[in-house]
Amino acid sequence: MAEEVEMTRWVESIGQIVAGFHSGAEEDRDAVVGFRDALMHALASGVAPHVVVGDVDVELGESMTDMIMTTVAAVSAGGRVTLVEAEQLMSPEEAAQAIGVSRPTIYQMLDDGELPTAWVHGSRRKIRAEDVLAVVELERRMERADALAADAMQPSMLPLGSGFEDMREAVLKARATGEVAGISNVMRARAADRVRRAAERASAAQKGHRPATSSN
Amino acid sequence: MPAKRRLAVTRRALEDLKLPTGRKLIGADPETFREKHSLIDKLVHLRSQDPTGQEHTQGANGVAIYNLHGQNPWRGVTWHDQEADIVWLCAASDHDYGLFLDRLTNQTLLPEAADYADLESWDAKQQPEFFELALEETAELLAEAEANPGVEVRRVIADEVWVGVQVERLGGEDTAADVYIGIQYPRARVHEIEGDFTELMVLLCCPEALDEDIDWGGQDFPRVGGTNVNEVVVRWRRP
Repeated sequence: MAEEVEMTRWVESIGQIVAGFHSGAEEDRDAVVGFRDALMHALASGVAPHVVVGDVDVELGESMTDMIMTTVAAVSAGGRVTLVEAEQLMSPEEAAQAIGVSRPTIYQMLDDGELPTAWVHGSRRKIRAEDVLAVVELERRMERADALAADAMQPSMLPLGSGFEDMREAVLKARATGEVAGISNVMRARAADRVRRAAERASAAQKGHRPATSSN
Repeated sequence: MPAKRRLAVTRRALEDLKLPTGRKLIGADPETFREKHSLIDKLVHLRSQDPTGQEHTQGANGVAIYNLHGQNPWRGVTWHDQEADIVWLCAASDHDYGLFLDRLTNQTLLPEAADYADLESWDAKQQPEFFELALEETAELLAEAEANPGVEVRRVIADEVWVGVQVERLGGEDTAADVYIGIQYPRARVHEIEGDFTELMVLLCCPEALDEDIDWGGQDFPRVGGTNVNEVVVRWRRP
């Protein structure tokens, strides 16, 4: 019964998250992490997760479990969670806010076809939330790629922190704390090293080229 | 293990193709957007089978750039990075071969660091979730294998990689054992990154293992039927 009480408390926290709440309070974060761990434990044990709300015991289906796991993983990592339906329409102002660009930039993206227009009425336009989120994800990915390329162009930084012992140390730390950032850092250093070597390869292949054309 | 050849499109080639959602495709597997342009379709169709082609432009130091014909008037050029086994669509134009030659001369044709970083970034997208899941699941895997010496315990880790662990005790109550770890990659993306994942999975299963106590390949997994196809087998000789 004690576990059920705990679950109820966690479900209350999840309810707040789903409503779009974001709190820096440590107890809220602990509740979310606890809920995530309980869910993962249930899944790893092959037990269908249940939640108890008041007198009602609900078995979580696969899609509901996935949704909650995604949400709690984001929140426990310090992220902000806002649920929007993929089909929901957003105004250019809302899209600009979500992507972090100006409203004229959104209009330019719509004109260029980079963002599909989902609804037009006179001069008013709307965009599907799913398309806006795809741009947000793309911006993040491009930022990561640019940062990786920048790392790769600084050979003095590499291959520090990318050897077997560094990986071993990162894994031992992750085992002790559950925090995988150290593993990510080692993998990132290795990725930067691969990028640097590949870019050097391409550059070397290109240098000294004389454009003598032939066909066969 | 033979790596799967990778196809890729440089940022500059995406711009050349004027794909309406071009930026969304940066670093992506061309297979996932081959319907968006005839040249991408040809890239996937032809270069996945043969990394080169018939017509080529030969560089002075041996670099070969191969022509790729899309639906008229689209033409492109590809370059095979042999070491990474990646075929790049480097540039595209509406039959303007001068553009390719200009870029060759200006050394702006072949992929740059940002292009390679796009591929790494694409691969890394799911990594934190993978690490977290793998961290938890490998601990359980090893614990079960330790409790059942001489028996293989095998699971899909983090929804991606099959990992089998078998502990062969070397004597009595001693902790000395040969720990076999078989890592099998069923996923499509099997590139350079695979070596890193092998090392990571081994360390996740055996974090106390020292490099000098690990045989990184060549031995058979001690199960009936031996090593599986596309499986890397590593042995930790635990003192």
